[in-house]
Amino acid sequence: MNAALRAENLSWSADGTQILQDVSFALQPGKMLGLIGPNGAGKSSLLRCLYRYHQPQAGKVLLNDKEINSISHKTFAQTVAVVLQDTPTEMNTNVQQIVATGLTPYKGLFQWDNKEDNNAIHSALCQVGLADKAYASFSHLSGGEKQRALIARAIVQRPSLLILDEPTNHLDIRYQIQILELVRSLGITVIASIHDLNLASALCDELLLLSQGRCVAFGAAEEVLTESQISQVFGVCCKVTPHPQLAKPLIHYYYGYHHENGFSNDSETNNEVVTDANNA
Amino acid sequence: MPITPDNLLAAQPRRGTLCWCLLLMLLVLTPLLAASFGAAEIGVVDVLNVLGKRWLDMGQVSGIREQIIWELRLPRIILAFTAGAGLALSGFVLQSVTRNPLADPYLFGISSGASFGAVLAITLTGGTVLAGLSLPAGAFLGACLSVLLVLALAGHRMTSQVERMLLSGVAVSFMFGALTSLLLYFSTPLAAQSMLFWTMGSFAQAEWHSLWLPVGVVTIALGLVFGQKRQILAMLSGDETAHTLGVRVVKMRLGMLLLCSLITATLVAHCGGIGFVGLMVPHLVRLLLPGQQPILLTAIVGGLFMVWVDVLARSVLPSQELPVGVLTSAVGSVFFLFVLRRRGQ
Repeated sequence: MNAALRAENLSWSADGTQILQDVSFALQPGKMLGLIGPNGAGKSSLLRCLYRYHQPQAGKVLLNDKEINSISHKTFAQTVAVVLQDTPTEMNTNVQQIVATGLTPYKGLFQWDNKEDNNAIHSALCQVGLADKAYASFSHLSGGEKQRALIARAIVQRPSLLILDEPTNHLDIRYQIQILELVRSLGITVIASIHDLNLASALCDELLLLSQGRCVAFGAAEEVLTESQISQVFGVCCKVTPHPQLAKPLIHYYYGYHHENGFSNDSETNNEVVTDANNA
Repeated sequence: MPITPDNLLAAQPRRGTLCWCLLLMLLVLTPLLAASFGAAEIGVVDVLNVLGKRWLDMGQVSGIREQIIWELRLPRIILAFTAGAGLALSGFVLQSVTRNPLADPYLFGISSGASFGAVLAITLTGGTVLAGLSLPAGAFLGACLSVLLVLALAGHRMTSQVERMLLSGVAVSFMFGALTSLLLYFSTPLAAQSMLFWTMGSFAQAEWHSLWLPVGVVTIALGLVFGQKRQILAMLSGDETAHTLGVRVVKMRLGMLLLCSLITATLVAHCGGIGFVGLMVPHLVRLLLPGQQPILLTAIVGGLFMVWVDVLARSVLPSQELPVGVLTSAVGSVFFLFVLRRRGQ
């Protein structure tokens, strides 16, 4: 029963629209959970409930068996680090300063960075391969470097749970793999929302498939990424084979969804495509 | 890119150290030099003599010169420095916590509230001796009133707070602006004139016995901001990120707005409306030291800038003093356009 994070029947709605409904899952310490689902499925909202940015209307979240709302701001930030999708960069701060803000939850008034802190910042930068960019302006970094700098900040925060909201967005495939492998190598519990199903399959221990705010499937990649569930949730047809290197599910998509009267989403046409594709 | 990292690593801190050395030197020299400018012929040696006489009980200087330096110019320099430092500090903090590069101490209705309070005080006391006392008090109360309105309207929702703050600040500005105009429309020419003089800002009223309040407020505020530097920097990365770093974003922003308002209200009450320093100096420092967020440096640059603008105001015309608010706005806006032009390229 010692789950690092447990969500029980989470429901959250915004302005009368139900975004999350009855989502439950439990994650063992040190595991990496991939959150997958179509756009608007509620992935970011679920993550926001987990790091207390949203207050769920029903259900609860337990962090190391403790209700998260009973944890102080400081302790919570010492336990959970978050890497967000968009970070505003208008104000020019350099990489080293961005990483140093990871120490915020450990510091009170008038506590400056000491030698130990600077070492921690430096080693985090080395770990993500950005030591040479310590004094570069954050806004001048490439997408992958920004993401790595934010992960360095999370490392400095010394969390036991790391939450990442689409960390691989806008990155080329090399960086996508690099970022997720870097996160995996930290050895802490990780939750990341990921769009690329093959990437999620290859690098996550467990997957949670969300659709319209509900948890459709939760478990190992083999149980979640089945042909029927993918076509049901994403509205695309595919064939799943074992990955040649990892033996995890590898998804091959079929193409040709454009009809004369435009794009269609309803299941009837999807079934047609399935037959077409299978006959082909 | 084998060359850039080394250069960057070395160049940034070195530039910072250079800036600090330069500023510390200016900090020592400025009072001595600034006190020697003005209508009366006074040299740096006289200033040194006065300081020596007052502090170390040595040095010879004529009575009248001592009076000019000690009673007029030095308090004035200290007030100017305090005002500049306070406004620059407020600007820096407000720009950071709202992440709005245009935020400045006057954006949240403080100056219009203060003007209204001042005009009301002048109108009620009718330009009598009382006016000299009631004007700063009125300005302070007016500024507080406008800030309380903005704070009450800003709300407690993280997502909408900044927008509501800015919008309610603008609305409050217009409201007090209209009330001020209305009062001025019905007031005596004398009241209107003293009002106009006050709006343009001046350090001429500086006296030793009234210095403690602005100096105290700015020093304490600087300490508080310095203590929260980490949280303020965390807010630069966005509310949500700051939240995940354990910062109580909504409370922090309201607290900082309150603090900056207190600084600005105190300064406005003592030296009138001095615009643009709060907006410009933080940007100037960011431009000089890209990738750094030095709070103390910003305050010092603001203070030095104000002292020298005041020197300019005292000495540019042979027989007359220019209002310092006019000069800061003039110098400031030209500088700002220059920065915008450089940024655009």
